Amino acid sequence: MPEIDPTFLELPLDVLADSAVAAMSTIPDLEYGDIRVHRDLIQAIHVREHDLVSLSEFEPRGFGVRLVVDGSFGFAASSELSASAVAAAVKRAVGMARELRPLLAERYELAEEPPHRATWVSPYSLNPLAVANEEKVGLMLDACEAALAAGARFAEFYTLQVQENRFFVSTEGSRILQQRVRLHPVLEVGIPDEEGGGLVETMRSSSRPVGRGFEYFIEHDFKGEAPELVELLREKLAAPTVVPGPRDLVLDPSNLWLTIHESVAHGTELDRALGYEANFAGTTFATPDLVGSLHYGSPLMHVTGDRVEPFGLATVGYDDEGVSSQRWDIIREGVLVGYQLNRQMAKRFDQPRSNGCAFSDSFSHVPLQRMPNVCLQPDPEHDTTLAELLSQVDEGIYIWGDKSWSIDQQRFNFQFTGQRFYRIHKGRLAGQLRDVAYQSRTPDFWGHMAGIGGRSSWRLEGAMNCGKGQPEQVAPVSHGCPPALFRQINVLNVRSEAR
Amino acid sequence: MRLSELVEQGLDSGAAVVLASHASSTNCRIANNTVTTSGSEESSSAACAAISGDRVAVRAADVQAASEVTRLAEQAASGVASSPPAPDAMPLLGPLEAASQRGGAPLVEDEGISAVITDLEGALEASRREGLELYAYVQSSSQIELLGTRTGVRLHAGRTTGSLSMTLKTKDHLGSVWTGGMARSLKDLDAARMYSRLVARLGWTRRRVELPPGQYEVILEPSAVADMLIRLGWEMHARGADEGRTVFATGGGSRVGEQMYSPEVTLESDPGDPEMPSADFVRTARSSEYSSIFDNGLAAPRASWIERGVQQDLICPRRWAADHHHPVKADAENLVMRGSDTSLEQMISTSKRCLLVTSLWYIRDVDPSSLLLTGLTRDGLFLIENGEVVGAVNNFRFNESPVRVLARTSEIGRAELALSREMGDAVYVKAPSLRVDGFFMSSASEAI
Repeated sequence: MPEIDPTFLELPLDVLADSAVAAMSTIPDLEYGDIRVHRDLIQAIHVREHDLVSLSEFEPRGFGVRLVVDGSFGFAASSELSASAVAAAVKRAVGMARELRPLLAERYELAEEPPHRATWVSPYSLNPLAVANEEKVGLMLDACEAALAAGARFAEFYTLQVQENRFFVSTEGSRILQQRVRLHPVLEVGIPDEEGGGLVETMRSSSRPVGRGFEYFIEHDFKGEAPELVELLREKLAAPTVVPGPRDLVLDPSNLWLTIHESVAHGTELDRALGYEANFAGTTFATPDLVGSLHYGSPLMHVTGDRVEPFGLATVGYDDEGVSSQRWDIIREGVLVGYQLNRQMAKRFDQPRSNGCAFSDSFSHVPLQRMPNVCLQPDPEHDTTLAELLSQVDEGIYIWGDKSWSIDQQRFNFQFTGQRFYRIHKGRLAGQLRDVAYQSRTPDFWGHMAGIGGRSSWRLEGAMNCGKGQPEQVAPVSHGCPPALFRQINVLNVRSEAR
Repeated sequence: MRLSELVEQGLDSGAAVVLASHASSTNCRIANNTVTTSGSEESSSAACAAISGDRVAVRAADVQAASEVTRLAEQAASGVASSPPAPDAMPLLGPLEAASQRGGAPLVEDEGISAVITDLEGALEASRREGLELYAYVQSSSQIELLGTRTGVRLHAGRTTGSLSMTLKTKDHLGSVWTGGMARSLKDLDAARMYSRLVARLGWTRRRVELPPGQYEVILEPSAVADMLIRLGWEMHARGADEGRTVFATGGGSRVGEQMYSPEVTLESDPGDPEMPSADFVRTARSSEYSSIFDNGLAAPRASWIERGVQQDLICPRRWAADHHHPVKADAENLVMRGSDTSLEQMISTSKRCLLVTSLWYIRDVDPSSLLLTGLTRDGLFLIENGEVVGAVNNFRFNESPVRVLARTSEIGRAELALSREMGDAVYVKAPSLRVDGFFMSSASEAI
């Protein structure tokens, strides 16, 4: 079992926490206060063809103090890890809270949470930051060489690795130390499309971002996948272009996760529903008055939120407000039944407790209500296979992998593409297609879900860079799902859209 | 700790390139007519690059003491021997080859958001009084950077930015309008005037017009144009064109010199623009298609990207330029599309029937070969008939390419500093309103 990195423990954590609590104790109308100390170790490696293009290592670290004074919120942060910097930050946060107090129409209040004193470390075998750079770069170059040997004109490999350490202390008595790792290795191969004027078409590996150690990279066998990718890309370049129109779609988990992310996970953030993101990330059609009555999709639809899924990118022991991690229902039998909450949202929603969705991507940012792992549950009664889903389609398209994505600010109108598209003819795959996008309206799309895979077909996918908030923050998040069948979804041809 | 001390410490500890920076910012968020969060942050960081022959290794961190820069320099030095040769290796520039320091020490103090608090309070009171809902974000930020190299280059750059965006909604949420602005200082933004503009535009939403998807003549306001220009700018690198990976590639070469756009279109970068001064030299801790760590200090003077509709040279670091016979062209930090004297009001008044697009949202690549983008109109899509705005239109998803947009531009308005809805104040863009023929709204969106 991994332990907290001793180099994080060498930072003056107790000095900073004690200074924050001491400075806050002198504020007569303080209602709440906390300090978070963050240190991330981030490494990004970029390899192309035969060369290392860049290997960047960055170590952001600092603290943020958050407090509530007379119902008014204040936050200040600094990269200087000293008692004096903490005292100065508390003073700045109080100053802002008081300056903005006249503009308040609503008090900043938090739902109750018992204090926790705990240490939590995510499970992994091989800390990616502890693996020698030569080994990592060598493996990446090997995969690129294998792609080139198989006939790729271009081969590009990115690997992003993060070790995240956090220390949280609140005036309520919580004291929490945490550490987790994540990585995202992705290989992309390219071949000129001679039919398309010689411009390059690309295809990505089946790897995905994971809350795991470097063992995931090794298990994946990129060198072995590289020639397969090249062959698949060749097939795609020779494939017929899609005829636009309504089609039955079977979406692989590698594609469906992103549709879940955009149309369900963002759509069930309570801060959006209450307008907190109306000036930037947007709102949602799934408003609180519709809980218990909104038919989000077909009765097959069971969506959960969690921060506990093993190897999930949003999995933690405690969130950035010190709330212990949980799992709960968001959509049950197609009906909206719950939201994602932080402590402020829980209080506004008259819930006794937050479900632990506060997250800040940096010491310098305020924790926001951010997405947990949001997962579509598999068929509970039958372990339906992908082949069984395909067999239910007379004429349709099976889509694998994600590429382009976009959705409107109320999470209605979306458009997605993918990495590979296969024609389904009389229940079987019948070769690749190209130039496919699908566009729909969230409740219509989910209402047309006619089949869903079983437990064996369920896979955890995700993203490292979900964006939200002002100033904008990025968050890692996983989405698990099985493949699923959707009837008569509008398919576009991206080439004809461009004309 | 002064940045100059961090830089000299890194160089004394064996680094070939040191980039040190100090940043601070203040912000406040408003939703539902009340303040929701605020923040104040400051940070100092340093990046040290060790270079040995054609090998390079870089380490970067937030720092507060010179000893930490020593650690970074030592870590970089220990990593350089095991690094493979860098494909972009070039000799570092000396002071005579690098950019010259322009002007004196830059203004770097974050001014905070106090300059707009009174106006925001007034807007909040008015919104509550009028039964409307105000949502807003204000940010003031500053950054100073100092670059030092072992070859004697010492260059600093500073930047301050103030930005404000506001969304105003009717209580029933059937009307929603947005505006945004940015400047060197929040003192240069008129929050009260921005609010008044929103109130006037919210009046336009009283009449709603349902229109089907299709091709429309549109007037894109500067924020929407800024988003298109930023996307176009991201593709303007020589390597992508040479390799057939961008819209600037042809089957066997690049489209430099081709009349790709309307003859009215001229796009430049100008670090000396007084409204959006930017650094005029390369500083980077990471190599990419846009810049090379070996090019630190390279001059990034005023540049022309599109001249009267003709695509000019693309961004090209020194190594790629030498190997592929291109002129060296440094990446730039601002974009300036040349405008005219025609105001937006004049453009509206001369329109027979078209759509007025305030801002664009969730823009993503669909097809790199044509730079086809998809995205949506948001918080202000209006129908203009016979020279007047006659109502608000349902939003649309669009499938369009910035190249096609600039090729089908038939009128250009007055240029102004524009706040990109998606990118915020990270990029300085001066953009005019554009009249574009046949803008493809591919499907309707019921989002308001």
